Amino acid sequence: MAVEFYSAFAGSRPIRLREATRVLADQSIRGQYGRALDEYEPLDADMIPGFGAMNDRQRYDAMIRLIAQRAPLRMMEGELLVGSATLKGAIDHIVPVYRAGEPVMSSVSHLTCGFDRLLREGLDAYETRIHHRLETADERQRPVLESFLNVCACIRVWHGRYMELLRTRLAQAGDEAERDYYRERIAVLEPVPFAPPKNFRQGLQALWFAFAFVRLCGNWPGIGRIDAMLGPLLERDLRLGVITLDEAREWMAHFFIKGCEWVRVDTQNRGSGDGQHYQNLVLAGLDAEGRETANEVTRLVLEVVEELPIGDFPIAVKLREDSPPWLMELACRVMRHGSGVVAVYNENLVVQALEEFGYSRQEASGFANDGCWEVQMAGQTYFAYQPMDAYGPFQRDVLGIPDGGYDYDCFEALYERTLSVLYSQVDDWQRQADDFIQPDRPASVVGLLTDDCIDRGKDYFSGGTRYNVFSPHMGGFPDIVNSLYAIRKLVFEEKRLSFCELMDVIKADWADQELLRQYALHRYSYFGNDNDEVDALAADLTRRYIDRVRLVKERCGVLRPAGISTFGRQIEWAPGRAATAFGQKKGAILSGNLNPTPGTDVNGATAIIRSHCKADLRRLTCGTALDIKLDTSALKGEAGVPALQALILGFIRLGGFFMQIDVMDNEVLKRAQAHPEEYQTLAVRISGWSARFVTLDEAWQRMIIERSAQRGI
Amino acid sequence: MKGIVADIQRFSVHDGPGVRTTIFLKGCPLRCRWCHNPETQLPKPQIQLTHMRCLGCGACVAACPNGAHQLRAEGHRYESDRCTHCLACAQACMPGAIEICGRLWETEEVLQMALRDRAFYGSSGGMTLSGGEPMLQAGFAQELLEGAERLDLSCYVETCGYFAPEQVEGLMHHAQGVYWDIKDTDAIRHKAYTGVGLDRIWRNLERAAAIAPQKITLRCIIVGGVNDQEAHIQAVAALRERLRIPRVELIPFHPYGSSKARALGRTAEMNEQAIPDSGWMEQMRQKWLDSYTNSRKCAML
Repeated sequence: MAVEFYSAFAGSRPIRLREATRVLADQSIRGQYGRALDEYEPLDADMIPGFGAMNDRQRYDAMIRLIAQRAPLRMMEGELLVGSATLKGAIDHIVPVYRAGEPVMSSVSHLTCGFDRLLREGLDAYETRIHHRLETADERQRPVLESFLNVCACIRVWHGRYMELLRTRLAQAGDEAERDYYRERIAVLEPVPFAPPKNFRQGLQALWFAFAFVRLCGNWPGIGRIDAMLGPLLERDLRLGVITLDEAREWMAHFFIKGCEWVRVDTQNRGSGDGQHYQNLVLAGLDAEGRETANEVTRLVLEVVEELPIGDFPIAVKLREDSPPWLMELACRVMRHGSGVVAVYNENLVVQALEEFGYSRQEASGFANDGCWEVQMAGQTYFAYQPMDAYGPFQRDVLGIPDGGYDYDCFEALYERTLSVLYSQVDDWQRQADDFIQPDRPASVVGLLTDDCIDRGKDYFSGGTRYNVFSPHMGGFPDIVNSLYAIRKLVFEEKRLSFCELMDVIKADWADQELLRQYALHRYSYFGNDNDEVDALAADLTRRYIDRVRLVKERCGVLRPAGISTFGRQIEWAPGRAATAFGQKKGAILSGNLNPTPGTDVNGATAIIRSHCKADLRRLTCGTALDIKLDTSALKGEAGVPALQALILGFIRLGGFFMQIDVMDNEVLKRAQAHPEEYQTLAVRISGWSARFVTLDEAWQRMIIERSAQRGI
Repeated sequence: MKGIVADIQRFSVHDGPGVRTTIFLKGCPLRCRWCHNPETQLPKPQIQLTHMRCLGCGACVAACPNGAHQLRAEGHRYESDRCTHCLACAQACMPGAIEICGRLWETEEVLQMALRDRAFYGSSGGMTLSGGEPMLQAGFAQELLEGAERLDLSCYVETCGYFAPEQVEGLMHHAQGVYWDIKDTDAIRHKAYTGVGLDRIWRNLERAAAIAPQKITLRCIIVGGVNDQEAHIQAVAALRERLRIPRVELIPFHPYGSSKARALGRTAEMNEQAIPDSGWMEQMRQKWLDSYTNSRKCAML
């Protein structure tokens, strides 16, 4: 029976790929290759002589050597791309070498390596640069540069092992077709990533091989601007007639299939989903000269995910009002199938935000992300963000829950206190951020691929990168705003009860006050309903937060752009949440990112977008996300794609930053909870990543289901 | 000018091209037994009860001078026959289980509300006047149409066609598109199921089509056991051909109105059994409507 893939949209997904490719995709999405990693034994540091006496740098270098020499090789039947990140420990975000059964060293995520430069120059040129730099290196720089050389050598070792495997298989091949298959693999893989790729196939192979090696060593990089990297190669190949678009689409499909080689669809050990390896890729957008870069590779990527429900490379498309109509339409066609695989950057606003922060126009226009949605200069940045819960301190130190001690005679006093607590939180963080750079922490696999680590002779964490960026990401603002608004109404305007009485009610979880609770829940219009009064509070709180962070834009060599997000942490915060003044009971999962609190948004998707965009996001350099969940009914029929386009254009015009639209039917999600075995390929957007719904635990599933679904009437 | 509005729905995607804001004007001369929006029939504010939200506090019982609300063992019972729409119960209801449907809006207020979503309209979206029967509040509707035109805001109108004939010209001149609801083509059934005859509707439609046929879409609700008959579809096709109307939509009955009727203290007259057979509808569409000489496809919603 032919393979079919789930779609939230009543219309079926297009079929353009060969059935064999679709079967491979189906197997990969269902976790066949991810689960097979269980067979591979972890590497043991005891295999490294003298490991116990080594310093961290020496240990790191030795572990990378061991990985390159000993990591199991894997080639799946019929796959077009070679290389596989086969060490299971890498999936756990560690350098996958254990000592006495314990991990030795953590690894790196929230970055996009400079794969574009690697493809442009080839690894051989990196080695030349390192040798050249060694000539003037001092004693501190020398071990770092040698560590970079070690990485180059290790890539060569790992590459050599695959070449040997291919040649062995070629020798053993049973027929001419099989021999042709291996000959092509050899021809494509042999020169890359050491020399710049000469054609699209080599380019895609080089990108995959480098990405897979970085992942094999435990790191989780994003991909970056794949269309800018590979588009010119494909255009050249098409012009020369050495590849067809259909062939190129098959290759791109294999890239996506390989991208879910860590997927296990483990419905027993669930959590935040199985697709959370921060491997976003970015499509389209203007180049430094203001020309649109969307090309045939952009189209192929979108066509692949229109056909295959693979969300493991979450895609962010840079869009503007004047983006090519085909691009906008194709992105919306993909979105309509659900799984939230395509999200949108408001390109002009993001570029403005980056320029306003101090990046040049040229740098800003090349922005990508950290593999999730926080924007960064890919291949040039050591980045991390600090998740912060703004509501917890607000609850404790402004409302006085549970200990009491606070009262306010007017709303202004309450708001002043709210700001004061927020500012303390920001200031405390600023002090911690001074220690962001870690002089002796090795990470040369990613340092090698990040500017300007070679030039400076410093590693990724140690001040080698062109930009060191630590961003505070505050969550919970919409809940604070809704609380403030409800208190303003109940206590200071309608005077239904005093502040202290209301706090007593909240501490008692609204016991015996159901009438008042329902009143607070339903009689006021909260954030997300385009109510100017409450949205102005949200905008002001956001502005003051950004202003406070901006007081220290850079210190100790660390840039500090503000961001707003929760990335699903509202789930872990929920047990600490008391009841809220706007009628939520104790322990509720509240707002995610800069979204309305679930259940409070009742005026439709356009109202949500308007509320979200009333804050001036041009100064929120590290960004924020708006998550919109559309009911499948909103997009049925001919009107569906234009409706999505209209939402995106509105978001752009109103000044949004980043928007993730998912399309789903809650009834289907509930059926998937009851019968996970039948819905193994049903993916949903979480935040910067998508995941198979059945691999989410109950709390995460609940969060997705309880997000308000927007219907189109 | 002020008009009474039952509701305003944003992000409407099936009431005209693009994303639209639909203004549901209150008041309708028809009493369709399958009405999807029964809360828009009465041309004045009335209450709606969301049973799920009622906590049984009894405030409405105390506030109502006519005994329209009763709290019984089986739940909150609201008898609309006794209700004089004084709205005292809604004022008294803290949890918001009883809400007022319909209030007076200034023309400008409605337009400003529609403009809120201008960023989403692009070149195709805009405002749609629906109801109820928008043309029942002819002056208000006319002001909204002219105001929209002044603001360069696309305005569509959905009408049952039963309104004063002198309004046709203004409607067809100012509206960018008109959804003309065809409840039935059989005069006897039309009278029996909607409470009004067809003559005025046909005359208005003839006149409208003479002015601007290209603006009209015939929107035909198909109700199982009532008008799900080939002769009706054939008559729609003939009507369209004769009046050179480019577009027809067949819309299956859906019991959306049931819960709304209950909230209004009434019982819905039709249920799931009146949902027509989708296969039959598709067959009819292909047989009678796709072959239109302008070769414009018939849409199924």
